Amino acid sequence: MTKWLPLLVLGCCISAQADLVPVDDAALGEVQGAGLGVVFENFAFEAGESVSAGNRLDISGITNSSGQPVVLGVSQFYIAGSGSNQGANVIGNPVNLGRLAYPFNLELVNGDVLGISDKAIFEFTAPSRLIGQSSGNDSMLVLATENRTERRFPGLPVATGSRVDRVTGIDTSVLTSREGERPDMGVRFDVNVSGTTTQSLQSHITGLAVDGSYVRLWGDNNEMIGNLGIKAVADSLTFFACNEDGNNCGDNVVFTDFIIESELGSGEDQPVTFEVDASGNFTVEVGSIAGKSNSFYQNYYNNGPRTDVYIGDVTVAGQSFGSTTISNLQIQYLKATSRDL
Amino acid sequence: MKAVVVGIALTLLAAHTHAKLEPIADEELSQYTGQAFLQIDNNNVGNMDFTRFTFGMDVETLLTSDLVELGRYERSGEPAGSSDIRINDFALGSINADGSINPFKIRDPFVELAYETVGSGANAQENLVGVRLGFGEAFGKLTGNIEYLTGNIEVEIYGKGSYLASQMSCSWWDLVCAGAKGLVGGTWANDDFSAQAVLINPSNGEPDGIRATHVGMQDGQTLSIPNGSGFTNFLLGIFSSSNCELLNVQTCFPLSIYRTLDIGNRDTGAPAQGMFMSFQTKTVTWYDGGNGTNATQGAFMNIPNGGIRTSFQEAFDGTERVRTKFLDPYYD
Amino acid sequence: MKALILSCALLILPALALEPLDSQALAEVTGQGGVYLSGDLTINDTGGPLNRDGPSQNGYSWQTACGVNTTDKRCGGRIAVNTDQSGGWLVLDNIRGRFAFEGLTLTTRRIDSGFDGDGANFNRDVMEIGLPDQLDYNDVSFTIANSNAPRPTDAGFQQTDIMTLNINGTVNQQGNVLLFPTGAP
Repeated sequence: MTKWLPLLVLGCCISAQADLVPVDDAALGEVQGAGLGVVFENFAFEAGESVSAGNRLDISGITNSSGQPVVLGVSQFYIAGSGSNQGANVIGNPVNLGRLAYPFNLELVNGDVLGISDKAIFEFTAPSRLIGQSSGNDSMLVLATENRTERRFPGLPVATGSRVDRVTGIDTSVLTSREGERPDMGVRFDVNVSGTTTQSLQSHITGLAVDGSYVRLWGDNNEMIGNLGIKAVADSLTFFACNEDGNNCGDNVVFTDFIIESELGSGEDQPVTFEVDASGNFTVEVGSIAGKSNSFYQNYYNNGPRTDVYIGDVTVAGQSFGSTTISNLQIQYLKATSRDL
Repeated sequence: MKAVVVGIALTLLAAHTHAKLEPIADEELSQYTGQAFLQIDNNNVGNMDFTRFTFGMDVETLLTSDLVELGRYERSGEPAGSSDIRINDFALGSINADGSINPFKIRDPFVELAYETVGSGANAQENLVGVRLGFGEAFGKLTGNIEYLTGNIEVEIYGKGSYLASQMSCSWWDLVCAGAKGLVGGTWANDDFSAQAVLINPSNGEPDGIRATHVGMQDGQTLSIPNGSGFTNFLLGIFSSSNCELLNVQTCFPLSIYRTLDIGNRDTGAPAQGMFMSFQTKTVTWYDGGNGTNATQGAFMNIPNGGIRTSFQEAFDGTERVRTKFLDPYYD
Repeated sequence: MKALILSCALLILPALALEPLDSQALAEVTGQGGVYLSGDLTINDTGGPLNRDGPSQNGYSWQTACGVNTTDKRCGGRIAVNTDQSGGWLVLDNIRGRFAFEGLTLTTRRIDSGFDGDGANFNRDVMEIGLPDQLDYNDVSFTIANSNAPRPTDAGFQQTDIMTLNINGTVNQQGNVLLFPTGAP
């Protein structure tokens, strides 16, 4: 028990020390890698159920454009094993999240390993990914490419290189989470305007895995910066609407084989920052890559952070609306600043 | 374990995370304001209900994507293997000659859901029939090789009569054409002409917003001189586009020749309003400030009137693709 | 405020006393039995003592009604975090409510089998946190806000509230959280 005490105390020292003194980079650079693995064993979770009994989980303080108060209410949020039957079978239907061999991991990593020199990186990772048997890398998407044949204007040279043409398959060998370790998850929420609820929306996910996701944070120039990787796959996402009582639900809108693989930021060269300014607005920024070297660009466009989104099929009441693909999306710059509506 | 404890605390120190608990003085309470960063609106039109989530944000970005393809499924009357929307080497924003970024700008993006109430009374059923991602305002360069586009794209074409006349090739026997060419290239040479183009079927000149490959003047559309007299426009009104032709001028063009589109008015800097991408399970009329846009089943893109302006010369010749990467396969 | 001050004091003590254990000391620790914990944390449920007995001079007028449903920000706790030395503050404000659980267990456990074959290879000790079956929330709420200063008493203080999260009732859960060292210490 004593052995673990320092960990429990960690949270305390964070909030307790009011006047913090920065540590110089040299001291941080000496940190050795050591981490904490986290596995959820036989886990199930359910919140917001039994609204009629006074339970609530909601977000208020929002208005509509006329200034009337709006409450976004969550009437159920659950995580459970497969076969949860859209949230009907949660407690008693548990799931293991993370494996002993591939746990969720909190770790202080030597930045040199990640190409962020002389920094100690706080890293939170989901279960790791493997190199796929058919995709050939840690992406689940098996891609077919085509050569570019267009010109930027008639009479000018034909463009060079190749690009993604389409997704030809899904490689599940990338995942370390096994079939029984991919939970069901869902949320039922309704929008209440000035005390009136019109309809509620439900979304249910089956076979979810977030393997390969990561958050990396470090300090530089008196600022916290980071890199983010959001990788999720689900066997299905089902959406449908019900009336205000949660009854008379309409047709299912089903996304099958939903995959998102998104990397934001690339080490120190493209930091991701979150700032609050003096006016109370916040800014999320994925740094610009302008003004770098040609070798940086070569590497960035070939191996840099990218986002791929794929939905195998969308079906509504038995009708198919086919696949949707956004591939090799690269954010070379993004700045989003909030403002008062 | 020692390293972890010390180390994690250090990271937070380095990031200057301070946490404090303090009492609040009364006179300061007035400094609290509620921020409408997120607005949620419910609207009802007929048997349709809409819920819109608007985010108060100013976004600027430069992004590129190999492929944006929405709704790849077989659709009757359309080529096998085609998609509702398919754009290769897509980009938002561009890179200037001096290497600086000219970002694509978006203000107040929103997500909206459409529900249809089917039946009535106790058996009334709510069907989720559509979702869209919209932009209160959008401005900048949209680049890509457009293979298929489903939606409503209204293009305003403008230019001088002198240029228009140069594109008119009249047969020696066609006196009407010759007369018109004389007027356009003479009397009206320095007047600003304007025309409206939409997604079109090139084989018959009828508007066709589903998996379109061409844009042009639909049958019956006429040229106009916005600043001209009523009589001038009456004369012009005699000549209307038919089968992708007006006074022997071609009026329909493949989308693929427009490699970069200016969203918004690049001359005045006015952003385009009402641009959205959506998906519907049936035809849904989306409303923006009282104006309805009919969106067809499947994936759909809307760029309303004035959202894209292009000159006659650009309409005929196409537009050059701008640089969107620092090492760009179309430039380097 | 009473509870907050109290819990802060609890936080500060171990923090000041925090000293890393050297490897020698760690090696001597052996796992014994387990711990069974129940908890009940109330943060400014009906406002803190300052709201009843606080000073009223110098503009610090604290006497205010802090019933369960009041949204007066003098009634709740506040945490401000800054991620950029020159920037503004991300704030959790008006933190109030009661949170209770019964039956959180802490124990060490050797895993050398099970887990679909992972256990035998693992063959190590883990710390097991047995999650309580039920978490009870009683009108727990906090507001997410952005501010130009950590304290409302700072000069030129300005704050924009973004949204408020409210939780009331029971959260059901089951399972264990297993913690173990990874990497190469």
